[in-house]
Order: sequence, then structure tokens, then C-alpha cells
Amino acid sequence: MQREFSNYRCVKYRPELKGQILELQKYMWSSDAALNAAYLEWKYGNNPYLDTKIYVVLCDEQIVGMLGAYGAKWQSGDSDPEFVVPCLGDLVFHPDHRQQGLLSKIVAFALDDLFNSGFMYIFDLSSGPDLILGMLMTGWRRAGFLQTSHWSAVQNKIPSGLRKYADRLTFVSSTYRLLRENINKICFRH
Amino acid sequence: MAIEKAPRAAAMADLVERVGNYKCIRHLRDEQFYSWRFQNPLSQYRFLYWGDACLEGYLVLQVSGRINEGKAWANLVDWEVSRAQVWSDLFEAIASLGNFDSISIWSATLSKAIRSVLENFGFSFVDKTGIITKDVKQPTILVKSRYQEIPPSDWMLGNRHLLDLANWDLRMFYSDNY
Repeated sequence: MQREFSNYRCVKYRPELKGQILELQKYMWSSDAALNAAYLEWKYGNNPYLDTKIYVVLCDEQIVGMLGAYGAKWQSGDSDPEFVVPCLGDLVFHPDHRQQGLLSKIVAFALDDLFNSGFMYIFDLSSGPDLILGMLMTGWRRAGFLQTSHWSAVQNKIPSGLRKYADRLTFVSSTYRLLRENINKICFRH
Repeated sequence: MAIEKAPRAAAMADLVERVGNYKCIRHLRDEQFYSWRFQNPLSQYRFLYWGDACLEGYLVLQVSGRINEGKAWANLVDWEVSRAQVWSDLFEAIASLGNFDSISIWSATLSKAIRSVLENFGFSFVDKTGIITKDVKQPTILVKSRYQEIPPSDWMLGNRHLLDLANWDLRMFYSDNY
């Protein structure tokens, strides 16, 4: 159902909103409200670096969207100072309120509060591909792709004794690698 | 070598202090951080240690709590070792005893020594293709600056450029997805 954009308003977290947040997060965290409560407490309540930074979208005083910013401490060299940088996460909207343009509204609200709190940078390490393009169009920049690499037990079933031996001898190691690649080609690619 | 369900926060931080001398952008991995980070109630972790009070190395795995097509998977979310051989021995123990069907790791900022170890174990590397529709599916780190008037090429954390991936040491447990 299309709603008037003006029906929605963003507010910062208050303890009395907790129950509604836990219900909303059943769409993302887990179906178990008690587990969600433990997660909220751990991530935001007990975060050692940042007070609770949670932003919600209200529609008729009901929470229909949430975005969080959890704290992490970063460093760039041994002698450099340490920096607390908020990281965005836990974005979720109630299914009845998706496709309403709320993403840009809640992100802008969160950034405004975080930058006004004095933070120079905000990071995001958890957004999926469906969000990234939109964020890049609103001034976010990509530091890089993180390239997930995989090990598969099926493709690497090699006797550990042979592997250990091969690792220690250059010639055997390269022969072993060649052999393994050929085994993979013969066994798994045809 | 020992596998445990809880972090040895002080010993892990001590090892990082002794050998984790990275000149790049990374999380501060101190005792406070380790004590807090692995209490995540939505994840299960396993800690593989080499050494006793004074560690020579450790690997941290986030292990599957949910069944995904009956497969047991793990993510290698953090590690520290005094030398590459320790990494190799720890991983061999996981590969042979862990009974995992697959193990994943973020590899974009791995050191050459660790990358070489992974290659020896048969890890497959998914490198950037340059094709945006394929690359966009890979996990990404995004940065937003408070100062719109500063060009992104000048965004710095300390004395390091934020938009140069070579300046980062990135591990899965920096993300709240793990």
C-alpha cells in the first residue's frame, strides 16, 4: 500500500521502543524475541566503544524501520591514535512499508546525528549488493572488494601425511600441486 | 593445540601485541575487544589455539548454527600467528578434524605468506573481475565522510588513505554479519 511520505518520521532510540524493535527484527535477526533482546543488549547496550545509536522510522507511532550504528575502535599504525568509527548495520523495514523511499530517509537521519556527534567517518561492512549502488550514489565510497575465498573438503581430500611431507620439500610440493590440480580436473570438472 | 568454545581474551591480545605489527587500518584487538566481540548470541565460534599461557597462534571460526542443505560450513573470522607455519598447522588440524564441508575467509588483504599457505591447502580465490554485475556481489567496505568538501582521494584515517585497499587489514569479524 502506498503511503504519504510525510506519514513517516525518524526518531532516535528510546528504551520504550525496545519491544517494537525486537518484533521488527524478527524479519532479520531471528524469529526468537528473547534471542533478539540478547543480541540488542550485546551489540548496542554493552558495546564498549559507543552508546546506543539506533534510529527508527515511525508510521502512526509504530516502528516500521530500523537502522543501527555500532561502535568499533580502529587504528592505522602503532604510533597513531585510535579512532572510534561507527559502522552501519541491522537495517530492516516492515514488509508493508518497503518500496516507500524510506532507506534514504533513515540513512540521512542517522548520518546527520552521527556527524553532529563529532565522528569524521562512518563505515559499512555489511550492506548487500542491493543497497550498495544506492549508497554509492549518495556520497559513499568503496574502499574495495573483500573477496571471499573458499576451501572445500570434497575438492581437497588429500591424506594429511602426504600434504605435510609435500609442504616441506619444494619439488614434491610443486609436483603435488600439479597432481592435485589434475585430480580436480579429472574428478570434478567433467 | 587446543580447541575451545570461548576466547582466551588476554592471551589473544598479548599475542597480537607481540606479533601483530601491521602498518595498516585495522581493528584494535585488545582484551576488552575480544571479551566483548565473541559474546554475539546469534553466532557460534570455535577457537583453535597453539600454545598455553603464551600463545604462538590462534584461529577463530564462526561455525554454522543453521543447517544449509545439510552442509557444515565455517568462516575463518580472525587469526594471529607468530609465523606462517603455525597458521598452516592450525588450519590442517581444522581441515582434517573439523569435519567441515567448506571454510571461507576474506582474502583481499591477506599477507603473501598466509595467501601462500591457503593456496597450498587448495583455497579457491575469487578475484575482482572488473565486471560490475559480478563484482557487486562480493562483500564490500563502504566509507562516508563528514566533510563533503574534501575529495575522497584525501580521506585519511591517521596517515593512511581510506580508499586504498592496500592500506587495510580486513577480517570477517570486523563485520556484524559474522
